[in-house]
Amino acid sequence: MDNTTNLLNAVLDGKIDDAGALTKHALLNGMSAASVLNQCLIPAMEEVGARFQRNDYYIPDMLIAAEAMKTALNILKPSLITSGTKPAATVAIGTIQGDLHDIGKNLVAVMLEGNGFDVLDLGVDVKPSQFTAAVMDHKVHVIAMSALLTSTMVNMQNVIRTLEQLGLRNRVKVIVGGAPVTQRYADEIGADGFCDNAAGTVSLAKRLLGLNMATFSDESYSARVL
Amino acid sequence: MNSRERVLCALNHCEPDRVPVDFSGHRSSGISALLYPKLRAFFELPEKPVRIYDPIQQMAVVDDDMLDLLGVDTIELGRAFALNDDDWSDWVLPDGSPCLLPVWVKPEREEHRWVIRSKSGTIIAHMPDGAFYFEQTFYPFFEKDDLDNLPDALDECMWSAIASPPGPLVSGPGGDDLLVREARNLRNTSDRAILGLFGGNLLELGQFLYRNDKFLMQLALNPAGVHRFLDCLVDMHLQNLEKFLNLVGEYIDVIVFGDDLGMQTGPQISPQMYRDFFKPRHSKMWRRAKELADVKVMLHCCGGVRPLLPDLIDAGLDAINPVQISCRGMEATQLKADFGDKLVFWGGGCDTQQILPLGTPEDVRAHVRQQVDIFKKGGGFVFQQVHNILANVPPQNVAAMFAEINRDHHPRH
Repeated sequence: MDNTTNLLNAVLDGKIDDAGALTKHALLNGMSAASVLNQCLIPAMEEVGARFQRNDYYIPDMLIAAEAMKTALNILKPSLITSGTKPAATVAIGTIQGDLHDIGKNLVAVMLEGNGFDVLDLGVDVKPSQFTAAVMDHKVHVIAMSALLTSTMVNMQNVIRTLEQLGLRNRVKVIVGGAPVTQRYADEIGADGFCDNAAGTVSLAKRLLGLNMATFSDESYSARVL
Repeated sequence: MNSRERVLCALNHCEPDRVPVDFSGHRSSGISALLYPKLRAFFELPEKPVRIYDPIQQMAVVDDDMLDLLGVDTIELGRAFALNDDDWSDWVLPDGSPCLLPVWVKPEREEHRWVIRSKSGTIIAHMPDGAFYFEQTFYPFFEKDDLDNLPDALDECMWSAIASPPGPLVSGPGGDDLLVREARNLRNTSDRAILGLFGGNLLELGQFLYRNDKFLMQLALNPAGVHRFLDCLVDMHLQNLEKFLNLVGEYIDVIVFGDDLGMQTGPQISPQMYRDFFKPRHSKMWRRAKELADVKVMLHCCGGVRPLLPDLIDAGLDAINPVQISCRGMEATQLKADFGDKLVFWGGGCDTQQILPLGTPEDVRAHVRQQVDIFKKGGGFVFQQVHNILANVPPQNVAAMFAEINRDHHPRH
């Protein structure tokens, strides 16, 4: 197998050390950082997501794959910066005000990062003003909100209302998730999308932004910066 | 049939005179302390001080008058303790109303939040203003584990350190005698089925000690290390189980274990990983429990766990809770058809994610009727709403749920 396939498999299998070594090897052999990202890492994480949705992969598999991906990405980062390659989009993610659960939110963040998004993790108990500040200060393209409880889920609509009041609603896509959240609820509060799992959230974010990162060439990857 | 007979009949897969009802019999079938006084007012029951028996989740003690009114057939062993005023101290709920906390739980006020410290002074839990419950803030094994000092680590972990009654009342000199005396007294004075909360958590304690993501990764990356940890944990659990059941085994009907293995879309771990790490250990504890006492084993296990049910049954489980019917694979008819002859469904009576908080009273009644009709055939069913009833649930919906389950009879008053 060639180095590209080996690296893809290393990420897929969550072999963290191998992913690091193979990434260094690819760069030494003249492969561009953007090519490593687009030909190995992102396809690997897309496959992780697909396997998770088919119940072939479970959370431990997903987490170690993401860790391998992060290790590789950290090695690529200096070259990506030098070549001006930037993440396709930034997502501000957080658990809604009043809710302190973050297991699901963290999984979504990991999968988004693993698929090439820049993720601004606002943590838990995130107030509407923190989400709106992220839109203003960091130019995020997507707000991703999570809730575990029906008693906190209701605070999601305050974020959307605050975005509207500040005239920011059209600048971002708002997606929601978490155990009690449904498509119906997302529609009711005027969110742009809902997903019930981490892997699907990546596809949702890409669809809402009109991105198809799997098919990017090196040039178009950086050209697609929003 | 009295309440205990009714529950035991259902647990033995026979159809009782009516469906037995659990409400507040364990820490995942209760009601929020914020909602409890509103429900009392709705039923025109006299005002009573709100006592929080589960400080983490902020769940209220349900008083006997309400248990009687609602025809509840279960009682948690802990209700036999902390019956004196000096077992409780004043506190305040997030809505500003007064309540009582077990005297050994001492939240401290910091700017914009409440915190709870461990004996050593570490902040192990906090509740920011605007939140309705405490969340863990410290993971004792996150940096480095110390298997020789597992009990010390558990003292630094929110879920094990912040106790519900009886808590420290039964530790120290005379503690065992008090535990036995009050358990016997409860047995002699209540005909409700008594649930003894044991825990025996495995995956969850890994997640609470190492932190969720780290422990799940360790399962894949460092199986030998996880086996070492689980061996130590099970040794400790078995010692505690031996002691617990030797003291109260003859007074309880059900021993409750806990381990959330699922999430909304299915199990957190693969069935193979469950078999490799957890099944043999669950089996060891559950079989030992049955050797030690004439008890039924119930596992509280949230989420979509259908793919794990054959292994859980094989490991010796009698009853699964809370039967989270809104999760993938947890459709009631299919669960009952596939596992109903081997497994008791303790829960699944009313969805708490959509219908109970968001439906109309009529929606609630129709849904409860449907769930009960599916699950009650041939026994093997104890009614419980899927999880704790949260603060935002309309009291009339709670009333509708109990009105439906009590439709054909009048609970004792």
